Amino acid sequence: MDRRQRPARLLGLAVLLLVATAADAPQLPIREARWLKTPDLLADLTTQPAECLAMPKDAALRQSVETGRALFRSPLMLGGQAARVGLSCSSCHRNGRSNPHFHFPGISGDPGTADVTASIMSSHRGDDIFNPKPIPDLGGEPAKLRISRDPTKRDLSVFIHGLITQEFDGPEPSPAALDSVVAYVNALGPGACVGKTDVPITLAVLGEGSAARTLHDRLAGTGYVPADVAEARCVLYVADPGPVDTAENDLDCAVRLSAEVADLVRQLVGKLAAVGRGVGVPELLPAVIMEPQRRRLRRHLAFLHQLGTYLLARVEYQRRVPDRIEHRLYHPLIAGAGRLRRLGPVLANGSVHRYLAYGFLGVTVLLLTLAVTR
Amino acid sequence: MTSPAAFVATAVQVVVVAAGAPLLVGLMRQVHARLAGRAGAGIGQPWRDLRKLLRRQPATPVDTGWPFRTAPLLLMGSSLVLAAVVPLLTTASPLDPAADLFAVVGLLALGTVTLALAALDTGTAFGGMGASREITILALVEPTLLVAIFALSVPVGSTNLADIVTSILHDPSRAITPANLLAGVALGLAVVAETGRLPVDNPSTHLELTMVHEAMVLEYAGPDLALVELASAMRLSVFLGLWATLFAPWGIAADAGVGALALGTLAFTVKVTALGAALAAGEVFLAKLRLFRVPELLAGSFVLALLAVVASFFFG
Repeated sequence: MDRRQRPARLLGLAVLLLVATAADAPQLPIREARWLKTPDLLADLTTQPAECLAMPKDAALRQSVETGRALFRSPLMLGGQAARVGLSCSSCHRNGRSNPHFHFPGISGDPGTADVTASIMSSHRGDDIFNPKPIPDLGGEPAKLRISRDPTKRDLSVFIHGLITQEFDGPEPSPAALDSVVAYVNALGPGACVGKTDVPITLAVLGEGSAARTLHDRLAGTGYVPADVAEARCVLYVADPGPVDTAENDLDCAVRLSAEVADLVRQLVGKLAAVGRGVGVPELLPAVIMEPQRRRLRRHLAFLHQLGTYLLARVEYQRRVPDRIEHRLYHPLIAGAGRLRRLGPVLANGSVHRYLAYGFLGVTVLLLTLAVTR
Repeated sequence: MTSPAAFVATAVQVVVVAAGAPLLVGLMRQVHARLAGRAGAGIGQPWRDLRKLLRRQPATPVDTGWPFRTAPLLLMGSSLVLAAVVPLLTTASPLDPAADLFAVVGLLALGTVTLALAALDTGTAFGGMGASREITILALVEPTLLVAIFALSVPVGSTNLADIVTSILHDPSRAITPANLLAGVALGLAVVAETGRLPVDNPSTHLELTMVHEAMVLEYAGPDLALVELASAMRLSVFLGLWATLFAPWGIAADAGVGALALGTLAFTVKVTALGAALAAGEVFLAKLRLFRVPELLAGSFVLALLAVVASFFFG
């Protein structure tokens, strides 16, 4: 294989992969795709609604709003099960708006709804009733929102605090972090995005080699403004899966790629800590681009993804459909066996007379049966 | 069927049982002694005991009547008839029509009842206690015996023991049907109870208040005791032989030829010896059951027998 042809082929495969995701959603190894039920997955993954953010004039407040925005997008803010599956505030409120295509198995009914009292997420508020409600648009009309934005009251702060600690079983947020998120949500309003439409998400392309550079240039050409890692909404990591030498097998390749990704994450964390900026690493989407002979590795990724989808689907199914066999067959069977067990000591109480009667009756009935049937 | 050879075969069967029974008892005692860490008296000791007893002068307690005097003879007689009737060495016996399930169980019960009446006749406390216990056990064991052998007779369509044995010989897969296995366990428990082995009765004691069989024969002495002992040993042999014949009938002679008879004798000896040794070895690890718990065991065996019949109706 000619080494010079590789970047072009890699990019072609990257595009193919993205296109394939739109047609064949479960194959996509991108986490966000799991909670999107949408006619156009590609659009949902690459664009987002305009953020209705009116940045305040005051410098201290600006800083607070920026911090709040970062926390709003970090799964670590919610903690608990949400952090484990990668849900953040912005999963439901994309860019501070709503998300009409949000569909999390077991929590959502129709796309764009969520049951905030589901026991999957919360041990406090789980009510075992499936009652999903539409996700509100935080940048929408304030009168339509349930929680008052009145700065003189603490309604919003109390609500967000309860949401984190009770709805999602998250850790207790620090007062500064809570205030930042409140400041961010308060800065959202319909006046700030009049006439704005959906915008491309900010992307950061990482990776060594010409493949990453080519992808970076192409994306910039189509309007996806490449951003710095700390600011980007998504990080696209282009790993070079080409064999180091011909003796490398699939397993070695996977080990090498995961080592590259881990290295990158370490570097990112170090850089961010050094500049003291940002509270969470933006969601890292390692887009491992495969060459055709690496199909096996790709199958593994697809399998892991399908397994996750299956488990979530099963939880949803079990929540939606009560087990009829368990209720109508197993429970009566167990109860009947229990009654039989209590009958045992009555039947066999150690009395010789009773046992003699059993023997007599048994032989008599047997003789009668034989006389009738034979 | 009723050729002279068949009569000879039956006679050989009776002789083998009568001569071998004390040896079987001796073997079981020897196995028990060896496993318990004793040297043991040897396999021939029961025969030596019998010889010693037969030489003694007959003695009967005062105020005992005909039940006490006739019991040893009746017991011996019923045991001899059993040894002749049950197909142990050969199925080609001139007494074949008498080898009926009910007749055999009746003969077995007859011996026990005779001995119980004799024990009552002595008027002693031990005799009465032993008889009472023996009859209790008998009443619980008889249904098990009947029903278990029933389970075997249902697929054959005959209550004749020889027919049952022949059918299993022709179709060996029948030996491992659920009905057969259940009946085997039930009949095994019944045999243990009826022959007075552990955990129902302890055959090696004359001193316990809980003894059953030995309490009944406590007043016998001399030749009468020898008869009772020999008859009891023969009953044990017949019971073990019956169990072996019903559940592992291989080797039993189908005709009265000399070779077949020799093979049948060898197979019978091996099977009964193995069963007796296994029984004795098992007894080493068992304690005697409390008398009030014995009905539970026997009721359990009856339930197994009943299950065997049900299984033979549905799967047989």
